[in-house]
Amino acid sequence: MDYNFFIQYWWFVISLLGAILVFLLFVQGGQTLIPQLGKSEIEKTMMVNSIGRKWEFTFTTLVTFGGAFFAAFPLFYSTSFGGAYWVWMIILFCFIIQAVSFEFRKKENNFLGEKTYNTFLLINGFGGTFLLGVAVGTFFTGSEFVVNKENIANPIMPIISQWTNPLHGLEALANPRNLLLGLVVLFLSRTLGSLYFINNINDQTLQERAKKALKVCGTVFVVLFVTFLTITLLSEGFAVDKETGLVSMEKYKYFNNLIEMPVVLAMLLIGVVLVLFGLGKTMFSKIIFRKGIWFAGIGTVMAVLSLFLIAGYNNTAYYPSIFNPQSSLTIYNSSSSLFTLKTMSIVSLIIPFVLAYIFYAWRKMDKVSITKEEMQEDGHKY
Amino acid sequence: MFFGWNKVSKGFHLASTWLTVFGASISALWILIANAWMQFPTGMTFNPDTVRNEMTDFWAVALSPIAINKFFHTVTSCWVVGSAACIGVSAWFLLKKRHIDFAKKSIQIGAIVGLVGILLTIYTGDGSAYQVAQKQPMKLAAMEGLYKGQTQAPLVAVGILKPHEKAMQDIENPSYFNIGIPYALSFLSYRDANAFVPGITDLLNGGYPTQDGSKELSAKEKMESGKKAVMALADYKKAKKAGNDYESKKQLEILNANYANFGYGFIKDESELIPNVAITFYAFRFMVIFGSFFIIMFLAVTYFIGKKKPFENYTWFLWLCILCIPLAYMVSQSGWLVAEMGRQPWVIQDLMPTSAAISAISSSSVATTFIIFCVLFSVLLIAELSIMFKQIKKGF
Repeated sequence: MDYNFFIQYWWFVISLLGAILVFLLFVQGGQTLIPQLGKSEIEKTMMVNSIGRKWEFTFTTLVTFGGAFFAAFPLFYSTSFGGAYWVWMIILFCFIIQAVSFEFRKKENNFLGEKTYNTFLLINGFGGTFLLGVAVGTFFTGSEFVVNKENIANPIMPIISQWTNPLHGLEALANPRNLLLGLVVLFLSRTLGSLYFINNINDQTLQERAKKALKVCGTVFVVLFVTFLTITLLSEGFAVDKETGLVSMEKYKYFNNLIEMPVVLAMLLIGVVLVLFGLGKTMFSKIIFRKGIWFAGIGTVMAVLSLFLIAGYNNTAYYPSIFNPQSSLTIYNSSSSLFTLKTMSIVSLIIPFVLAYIFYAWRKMDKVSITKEEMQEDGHKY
Repeated sequence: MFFGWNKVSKGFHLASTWLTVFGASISALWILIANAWMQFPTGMTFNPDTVRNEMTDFWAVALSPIAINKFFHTVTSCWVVGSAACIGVSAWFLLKKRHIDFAKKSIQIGAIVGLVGILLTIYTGDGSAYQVAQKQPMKLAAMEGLYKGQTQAPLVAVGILKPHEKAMQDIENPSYFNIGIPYALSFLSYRDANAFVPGITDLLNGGYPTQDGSKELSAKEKMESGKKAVMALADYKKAKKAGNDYESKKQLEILNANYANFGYGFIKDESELIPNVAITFYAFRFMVIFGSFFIIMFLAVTYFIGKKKPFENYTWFLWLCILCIPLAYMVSQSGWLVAEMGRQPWVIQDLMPTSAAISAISSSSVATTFIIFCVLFSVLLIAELSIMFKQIKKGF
């Protein structure tokens, strides 16, 4: 197993973590649906508690994704965080206010009042998902930065990566393709959120309302996603010459990647079919179909994973610079050393156990669906 | 933990509590290993081609003596903070004559954990100061306000420093007044009451004999050596690009020979090498004096609770217990002030100054985010405290 193997392994691991994270954003999507679906206080309470028991999964996956990315591809971290500074900072603030809001909103003497915490949950739900989509959009559209490792020997400004756009990340919001991916992620999270409520809350009125919301969000999502995918597959991509490492624009690069990696193509197609099946079956079955989240969820993981893989595999620059294409980051030129990746790989053998624990804890928590009766009992509530 | 009492059985709750303690400690371990590496970088080799330090020995990083000591010092000091909180809240219940039995039991447990905690904290704190003397002598000099080195150096118990500029001009008498413990600094730093402890000016001027007998380099020499290393790296890159093997090899040798001082190559003036002496000095005094006070405090708690007179009748002492909650936090934070302010200007000791570790963004951007962090976290802290106070008031 050589250096390249470990680099590819780690791109796969963070792609998988990213894919699981996008699925788990149903929590954020659910947050945006609360005011729309909940007409009474008890209904809102049911929804908050339904996703309140899951927010930690999303949050820890986000942190693990970020941490693994940082450790395996440190040049990405030092280029992007100091460069696209404002986008990451706003994402960070959007997530800081989430956890406390779940924990504080119903507690006595919570200082800011329940309404403020509910607003925080909305900011996190809309802002967090949309901006994460915009940030990942730049993986396909590129950013403006220069990487020059020799700068470290410059005693005045020993800074390797420099952002060349003064907006420091906010310029990503001016690119329609990034905005499109932002909306895709936002509507996906709302779609998954409604599917999750249907699965998790045992209350017919709420399920009917979630189904209605699903019809709108799901349709919007499918249209947006197909548009994004079409544009991406038809667009130029940032190809890397295997021998020289030089970056050049290649027509239909991402489409070619799919054709050249048939396993990834198959995964994307199966993922899309599973999502469509989960959506369609839930939208159109006469009685309430509650298992839609599982089809759509697994489908989401597969589809997002394949998108990450075509961004990084097959000699593609996953974090391209449009200012100076030769500064673009590939999984090879931005990775940690072989020794570090090996050490991390040993640690990564724990991941299956963590996943098994999540699965177990999830099953345990969801043994009984949330009902009005439970919400009226004593005990811990969000 | 706080809100899960009725949700699960008592045994399950206790098990969850212990798992949380264990998990939090493990997480602290890795954070402190990272911090210790910055104070004493080890287990890595500088790779001139990727221009970065790369880990070459995982266990040297994970089991670095600085890391292990830091872990125990931090975690056991957290036991003290936790015990102070436990005793303080229980004392409040006693003042209000509520939950008396439960509060007394909690106080007893708190006092034992706290006493064990503070003794271990002091023991590891001594280890920490010893390591600082070996690895970060400038931090030690700042902690002590020691401008001119001496043998048989006393440890300053209390004192008032002159402003830094004045002290630099009068290095023999850098403080307005101080009370010292004879020989203590030499002994604590080198386990030898006669050992020479270098002061701030000695560290800048060099020339004094180090522990292994060699002469210490002056700051100017280190800065020159650092500049050589930085230049050699640049020339190495150039030679490598030009395909000049002989030249790149030669430059690499220069780089390796001077790498230990690499960070000094970014230092413009030797005065940058001195941390903020006043903050380090007073924070260190605050930590040691009030930290040691907790021994007396926990012993006093054990004494008063064992007396015939009901513990809840010592009103003044109960108030003191409550005041100890914020005090414990302040002592703990002052320890971090010493560790982090004292190591300036380094973000990685001797290898990278903080001024070279920055991103290329404007300082106003950083200031803006700093203010947002400050406001947001202060507001959330107020909310958290307000919720906690309410829960304490309600009791159980």
